[in-house]
Formats: sequence, C-alpha cells, structure tokens
Amino acid sequence: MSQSEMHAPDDLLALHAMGDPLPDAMGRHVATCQQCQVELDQWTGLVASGRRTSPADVPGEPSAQVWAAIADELGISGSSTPSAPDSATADVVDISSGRRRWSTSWLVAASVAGIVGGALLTAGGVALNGSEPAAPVAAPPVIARTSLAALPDHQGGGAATIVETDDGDELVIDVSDLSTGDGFYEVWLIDPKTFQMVGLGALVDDAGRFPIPDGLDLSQYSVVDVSLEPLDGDPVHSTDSVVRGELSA
Amino acid sequence: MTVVLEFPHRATVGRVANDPVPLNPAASEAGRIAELATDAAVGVAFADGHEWALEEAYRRWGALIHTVALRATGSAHDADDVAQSVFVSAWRGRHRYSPDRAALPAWLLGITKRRIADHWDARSREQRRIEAAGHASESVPQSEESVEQVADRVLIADELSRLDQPQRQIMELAFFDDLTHHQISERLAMPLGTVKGHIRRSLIRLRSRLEVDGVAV
Repeated sequence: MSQSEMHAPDDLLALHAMGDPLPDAMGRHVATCQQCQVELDQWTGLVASGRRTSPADVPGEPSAQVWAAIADELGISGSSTPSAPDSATADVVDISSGRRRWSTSWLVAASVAGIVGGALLTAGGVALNGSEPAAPVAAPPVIARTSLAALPDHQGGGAATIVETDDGDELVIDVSDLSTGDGFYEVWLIDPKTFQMVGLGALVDDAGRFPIPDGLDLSQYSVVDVSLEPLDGDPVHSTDSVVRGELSA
Repeated sequence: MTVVLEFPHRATVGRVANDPVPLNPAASEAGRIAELATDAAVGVAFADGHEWALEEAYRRWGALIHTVALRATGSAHDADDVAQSVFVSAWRGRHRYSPDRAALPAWLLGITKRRIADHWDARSREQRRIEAAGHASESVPQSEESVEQVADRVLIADELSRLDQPQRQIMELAFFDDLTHHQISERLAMPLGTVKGHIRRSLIRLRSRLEVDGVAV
C-alpha cells in the first residue's frame, strides 16, 4: 500500500479543518476517499461551530426561581435548592463526569462508579476462601431479608438474609435453579442510588454465608445481586446479573 | 472480589461498626454522593426515579439547557419557561429515558429542542392572529440556526471554559478571533508545533464532548 492509499490520521484532518494544508499525497487521497471525506466533514463542522461560538455562549446559571418553579410544579418535598457549581465543585463534577462513549449496560456504569476500601478487599478475599463451615449458631437474629427474583432472560430464585453473629453481620443466601453458563456465580451488595458495589465472594453451591465487611452501611448497600462471572480474571461485575432483591428490615 | 476504584480517597464507603445505621442517609451525605456520582450514574438514577438525580441533573445541566434556550429565543423570560418545562417534562417522562441509548444531557437537549420549537410555533400563531386582526406587528425573529447548532455552540463554549491554560487561550484566539496558527504562535511567542499540538488535543476533546452530550434524537 502506497502512502497515498492510507487514510488520513484524525489529527491531520482536524488541523486541516482549521486551515492547515495537508501533505500533497495525503491531500490527493483525501480528495477521493469517501471515508476520509466523512471524517473531514465532521471536523469541518466542529470548527465551523467553534468559529460561530462567542463568549456569550458559555453557560450561565439561570435564576434561582427556575429551580423553585420546577420543584413547585413537581411537588418535590423538602428539596434543597441545587446550588450553582462554584469553581471548587465544578472541578469535582469535571473529574467525575464520564466523558466516555456510552456503555451498553447500566451495570458497566455501575462498576465504574464502584468503590471499595482496602479493608473490603481483605474481607472479600476471606469470603472467597470461605470453605470453613460457619460455627453453629442457634437461630441468629435476622436484621434484614429479601427474596431474590430472576432478571429478564434469566431464571432462578432464592432468598437472602442478613444475620447478626458474634463475629459481625453475615449475608446468608439460598438460591435454586439459577440460569447456567460458563463461569461462576458471585454475590454482590449494590447501592441502588449510586450503583457503587461490593463483591462478597463466589457462590459455589446453592447456599452460602458471606461476612459483611465491617462498616458497610446496609441501608445504602441494600441490593443483593448474584451475577454470572466469566473466568477471565476481571474482578469487575460482568453486568450479567441472574437474580436480585432489595433488603428490608 | 473487588470493583473498580474511582474515588478511593473521597467517597464514603460506609460507617464505622456500631454506628447507628439510619434508614435515610443524612441530606448532606446524600448530596455528597450525588456530587461524586458519574454522569452515567446520575442518568441511571434519574431513569429509576430517584429525586436526588433530578436535582443533580439540574445542578449539572440546568445552565446548559437554560443557555441554549436563551441563545435560541433571545429572551431570558422565555428561556426560564423553556428550562422549567424541559426539566418538568423530563422528570414526568423519565420512564422513556434509556440510559443505554443516550447521555442524560443529550436527552435533555432533545427535549429542549422540541420545547423551543413549541415556543416558535406559539409565537408564529400569535403573529398570524395579530396580522389577521389587521394590526401591523414586529416580525418574530426566527432563529437562523437549528437548535442543534445552538447547542453545539453552547457545549463548545462550556468545554472551552473548562480547558486549562494555555489551551483555553489558544482555542479562544482560534475560534473567537479567527487567528491562524501562525498568528497565534506569534501572538503568544510559542513555537508553531506547540500551538498545533494544543489545538489538536483540544479539538479531539471538543469532538468527544459533542458526541456524548450533543442533542439526542
């Protein structure tokens, strides 16, 4: 393939849209290549929009009455007025905002939003090796429970309870007839508001017990989720959830 | 097993053991979580009907929507009405929002486009009514640009304002003042190659912003 038959790199096209000439051979190729023309059109459109842009286009905060009117019309109770982002919070938003192409599943976003502390890592590791039988405890007090229902395109069901033990809280889970697939089942606790999640460990039979990491707020991490995880060594949620339920007291 | 770390030092994972566990997190904590949520997480929570996500969406994109409406209608009062109507109908129609298909700001801009079109229709009807009554009237200033073009300009201006220096100054000279790369290089006493490098990186950043947040159909 000669030089003239190679597609123009994006950055050359971008600068060309700004007025820089292309190298001769590249220019001849771009003039006759449909794919390069489509790319160039996009850059040209962007530059044209940019040149029409003026300082008055920088978004400015609407007056406080706009939010008040929205909250009033929707009857939102006890809402705080969202403050205009000052420079400090604007930085936070900038860092946390996902300037990436959109994911195909909410759980991808969820895993990106996920966080876990070092202590949780350790606890998760222990849970993974958790083959030692739990000490016999006579009817441990149940703090919260949920049934587990199959997600679309999956089957199975079960139940999960949070019990108080001498060693801390544990998640006790029973499942049956779960959809099968390559890989293994993993148990997660998910915060439904932020989609942060904590992996508790692998579920190898139809039942298991998993210690809840100390300090994990179960009023936030209230969703119990069992996912099917491929054996790919990737510790992030596969996004393939099989059953799920929300804990309540 | 672990999940991806994003805010390892800034987010609150939970409470210390033995702390009372409230069923409703304190408002300040909820606000903090909202602030730390990614745009994607705000979109998912919005679709699921969590009120904090509406407030957070307004906090993040209210200025964007309002400014697009302001630049398209030319009236602060009309822009207030459009922005209010966009967020109200977005919230009431949140079941129609699919986070898999579009970023929330892109979806909101799609609604904004329709509300601005409604606004122009109403103005045209009003003008016809006045003309039918035999009164002379000032012509309604029709927007020469599509709402998409206005939204692109506002998104670009927003992204430019977030650029660090010297990229920001370079792009403003290129876009606002229409200077060539050579002129910018001379003006800032900066090597031409450096100027071009900054422009290239800034353009790529601007394009990805428009691709993610631009008006959804």
